Amino acid sequence: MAAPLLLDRDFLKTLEELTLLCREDLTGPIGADHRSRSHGPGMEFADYRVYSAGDDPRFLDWNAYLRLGRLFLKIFETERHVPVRILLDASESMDCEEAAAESKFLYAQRLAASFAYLSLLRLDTTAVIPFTERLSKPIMVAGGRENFWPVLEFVSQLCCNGGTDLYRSVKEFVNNFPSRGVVIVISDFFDEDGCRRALEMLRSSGHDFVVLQVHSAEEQRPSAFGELLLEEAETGELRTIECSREKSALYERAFLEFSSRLQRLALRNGGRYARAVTNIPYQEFVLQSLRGGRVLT
Amino acid sequence: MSWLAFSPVQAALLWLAGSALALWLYLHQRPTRRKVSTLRFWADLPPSVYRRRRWLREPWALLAQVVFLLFLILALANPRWGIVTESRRVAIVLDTSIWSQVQQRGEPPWIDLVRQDAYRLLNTLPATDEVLLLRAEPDALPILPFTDDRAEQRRAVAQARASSSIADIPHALEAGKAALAGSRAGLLVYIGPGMLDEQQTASLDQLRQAWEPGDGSGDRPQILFRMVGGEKPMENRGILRLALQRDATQPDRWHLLTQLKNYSESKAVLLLKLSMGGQPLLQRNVSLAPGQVSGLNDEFITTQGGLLTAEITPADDLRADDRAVVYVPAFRPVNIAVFTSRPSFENDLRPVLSTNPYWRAQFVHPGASVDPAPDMAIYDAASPPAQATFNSIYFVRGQQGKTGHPIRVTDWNSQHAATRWVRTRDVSVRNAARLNVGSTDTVLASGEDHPEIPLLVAREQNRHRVLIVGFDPGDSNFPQQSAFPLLIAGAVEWLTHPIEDVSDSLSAGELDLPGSATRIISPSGANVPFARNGSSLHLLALDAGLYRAIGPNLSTTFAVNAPPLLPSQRITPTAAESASVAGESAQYQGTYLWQWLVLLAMVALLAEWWLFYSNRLNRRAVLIQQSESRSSVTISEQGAQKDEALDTNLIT
Repeated sequence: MAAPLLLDRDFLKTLEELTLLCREDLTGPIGADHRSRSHGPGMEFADYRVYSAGDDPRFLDWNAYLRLGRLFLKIFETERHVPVRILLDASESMDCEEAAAESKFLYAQRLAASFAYLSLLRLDTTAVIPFTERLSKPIMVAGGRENFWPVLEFVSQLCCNGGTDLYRSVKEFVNNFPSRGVVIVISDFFDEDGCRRALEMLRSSGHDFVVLQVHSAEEQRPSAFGELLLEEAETGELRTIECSREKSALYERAFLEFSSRLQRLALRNGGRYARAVTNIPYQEFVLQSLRGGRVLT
Repeated sequence: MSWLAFSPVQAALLWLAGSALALWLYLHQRPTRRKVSTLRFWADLPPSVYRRRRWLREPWALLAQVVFLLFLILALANPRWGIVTESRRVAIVLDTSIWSQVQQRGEPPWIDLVRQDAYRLLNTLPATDEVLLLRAEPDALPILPFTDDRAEQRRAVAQARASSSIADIPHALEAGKAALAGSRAGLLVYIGPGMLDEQQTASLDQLRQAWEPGDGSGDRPQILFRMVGGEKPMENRGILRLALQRDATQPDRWHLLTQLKNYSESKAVLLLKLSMGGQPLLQRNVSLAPGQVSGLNDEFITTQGGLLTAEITPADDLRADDRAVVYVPAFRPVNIAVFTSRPSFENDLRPVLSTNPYWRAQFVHPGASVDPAPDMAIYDAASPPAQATFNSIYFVRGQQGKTGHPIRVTDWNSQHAATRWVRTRDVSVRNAARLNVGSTDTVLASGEDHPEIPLLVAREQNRHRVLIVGFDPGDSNFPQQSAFPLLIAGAVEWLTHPIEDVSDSLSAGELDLPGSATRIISPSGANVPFARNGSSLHLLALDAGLYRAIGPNLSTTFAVNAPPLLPSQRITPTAAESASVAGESAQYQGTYLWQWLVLLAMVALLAEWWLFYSNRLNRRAVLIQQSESRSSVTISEQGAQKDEALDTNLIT
């Protein structure tokens, strides 16, 4: 079955100009485009040092020798592969709004595909790992543009099901993916307690993680007023409420406080944070919000 | 048939609509259900003091009540289950025109034959057929609207009387066809002698081609002709016209023109008798060849006026045109008193007044008494009184002693009766008087001056009329103009009464009569509908005889005679038009459902009671338990109060 076109071609061309930022202390096989603290073969000049026996004579600076009469060795920054893992929330809470033009999950799918494309372009090993109450079967591909299609097909075929247990999922992830890398967690993060523990675990495992909170405008400020019978998507719990403009404003305040707490939590654990509202086009979010938020450059 | 006789599908749709309405009434008060990602933010909010409105405390009881009402309404609608066919519509055109008055020797009148055929037709029609009875006369009201009441139809046929007007059979058939339009099947039947003139024959042929009559099974109605009479040749002679003209020199002498026609195919010798007010006037023998029209001229003298009757003998098959009546106007001369002391004024007026044989002028000095009292007066050099007390003409003289420039008289009012014949622009006057024109006065002519000055003014006060002339005829060239006698003639007629110098007999049919009336009574004593058209009356006189028009001030009588009969031929029906009445293609097979619907309504009503009272008992028990747990206050009183509160809010 052909995968739906989650990302348009013009957007993909624009993505080719971007790079996913990551911590420089991350290590991996040499050969990709990410700068690292390791010195060795590379394109980016880092420093000089005095030649000692055993050094590779290819890196000698002969011009310096002619001027100074001493042998100096040019040191380059090594470019390494950084594994990129995208944790995508596929719980029911991501796809429960009937009225919304674009569901959170579709938005999250587009973001996951965008990150996957970025990392594949930089020849990084990429994994997309959906999770609900635990990890689902992931897709892992080596770097290279040609591997994007299977990822896209995999992402587009995902569907929402079940509840969310972020801590348990991250715990499984850390056990299954011990090598450090970039971890992008795309979720609504309504499991706040599990989220705190999950992010602490990612920090302790040495991952460079990005928290992408995806929500709809309706989730931020409800627009339906009157008597409402609300059903929680994951638990089926029912609650009758009377929604007025004042209540809606209070709700928004509570939601923004939650988002703020989530941001602080991410930053405190050394991660990065971005908030995506589904009424903003995903292209605009990727090219502007993520670019200005220390995620992409 | 019930006006709400729904088909089963319609009844089901109605029931569904009612049920949907009841369901909506119940559901629209329910809160909007929404699926959300999380309830945690709602849980963080302060608890709402809102308590859900409960407009419907007993929704199922309400639903049962709505169902009960629906069944009841449906039962009243009297729906039927099964195949229900629309009843057939039948339009019967009864020819009650003048031809139906024909009675041939040894046979009943044709109107009786028409009635018999109508009865026969009604007997053959199924009971569900709705019948419309029409007349064949143009513009006549229907005898009976659509109904399936056979007794009423027979009564209407029996009461249908022969008129004296000419039938317009194509027009009547067209009206009947229009009345059948829209019905599933129809039947159009003409019953009568079927006499058509040349124009009607052509119209009927066109209609026959255009209609393509069917057999009544489809949308096209079956068209049948039932002809009566006509087996034997008809013997008829009739009076076509009576016309009177007053003699020009002797006002009490009348010239009478009587036109007779022999419609038969054999020579006829007739005796024409003329009588007036029951007194024989003259009689004469007339010999008429077949088809001949003869005009007879006679003279007679009468001053009284009245009704002149002409009658021909021997009697023939159609007696309606053997007698005719015409109104002879009475002769009453107009007495005019001219008050003047000037010979010149007398010389100007005397030739004008003496040449008219209907006027009798008397010249007297101003202030002299006139016996007998004149019908109108003419005053020379006098000012009109403030309040008119007599119909008069006042000649008002202008300022004397100075010779003014001549003023041309223009703007003659052609709409006014006094000046309607005057058109001249050759009249010029000197020393014109300044006339005071009241708000109700009418200026009939003006002097061409700067500004224009009124010279002729018509005034109506206290039911009297006054014509004021603002110049002296001696100071003008008016007496030498031909317009002068025309002005005096028009003024005299406006001030007194018109002279009727002709009279003609009226024929049955549409009439336009001068005058006004509040009621018109036909020869049979019935009120005749009429319309006022300006100063005339428009009515349809179907019967020959004397009609009485009752007006606000006086009542007048006018005679209506049988109309002249045009050469006619009878309708020749085709085989299809002579066929028998087609039976109804489908019969009613429906079953009335109202008993079952009433039963279901009763069940719904019982269910509603049960639901309502069982819930009420449950609520009472709950309230009693709550009261017991809270305090030891008297349980029954609290429970009753709560129940009352609940009952007040409950919508049932």
